[in-house]
Amino acid sequence: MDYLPAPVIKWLEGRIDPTSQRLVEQYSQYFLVLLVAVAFVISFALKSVMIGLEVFLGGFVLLLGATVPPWPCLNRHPIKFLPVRQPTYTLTKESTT
Amino acid sequence: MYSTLNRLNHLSSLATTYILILLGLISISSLITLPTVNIGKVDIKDLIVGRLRRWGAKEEDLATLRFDVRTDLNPLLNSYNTKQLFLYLTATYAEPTGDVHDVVLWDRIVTRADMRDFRAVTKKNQAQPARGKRGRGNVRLEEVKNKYPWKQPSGSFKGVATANFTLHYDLMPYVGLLSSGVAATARGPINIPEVIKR
Repeated sequence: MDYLPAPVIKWLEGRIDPTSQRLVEQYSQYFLVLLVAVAFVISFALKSVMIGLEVFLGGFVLLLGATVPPWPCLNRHPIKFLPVRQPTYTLTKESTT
Repeated sequence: MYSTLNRLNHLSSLATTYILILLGLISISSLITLPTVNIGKVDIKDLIVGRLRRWGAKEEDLATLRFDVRTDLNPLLNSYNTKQLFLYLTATYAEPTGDVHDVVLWDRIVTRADMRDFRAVTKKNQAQPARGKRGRGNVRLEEVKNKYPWKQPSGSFKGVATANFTLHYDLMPYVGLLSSGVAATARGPINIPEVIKR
């Protein structure tokens, strides 16, 4: 993948910040539980197994679309790194020679 | 969850778990809500026992018959989780030695009418399942011959007086457990006639 330009690689890699990672993890679980319930109710009401699977598949595609690309809202809490400290040692005369 | 591939991988594996839960719910609920069948009627006609004489082979009796079936399996065929029904007619009889036989004489597969095929999804295939008198589940068979030869392991029907004829069904679901039952029976045991002499 090294032959691609740097911004493309960055977009493909799609890093998101740790807070968003936790939120995505949590809310995707909730979403899938809800999706299973909705798909089951719809398929039972319409007496068709196929429709239930289609509802589940549609919801799953929506979930992937919402979470897999690195949307800007998934990078709202970037890590604040400490500033780089300058080295404070002094050079002795022996080491410089 | 930090990179694109990582999220894709993680969510796909989660979704696999949840789709299995969904299929489990479907199979359990369809087993609970399985409809009952009104047992229909099988009429046995022209039951004949002949003697096969083939050069070089053992002489043996061969029974042939024709039968009518009237039974309504529409509730079963149009139930929630039915993919197809497998119907088979059996003859159950006891030999004088005490051995009980269950012989399959005929079978047929009835597929669900509104089963959507991924290869041909059209408006026609999504037609509403017919109820009542019409529909694929309404089994009306007239003068059907047995499909499989009916012979005796001993080579002779001597001593076998009667046989019970039953049309069984096996319900094959899209997902879940196979369930089976009786779709139609003959009224009482049928007499097996003497071998026709030539």
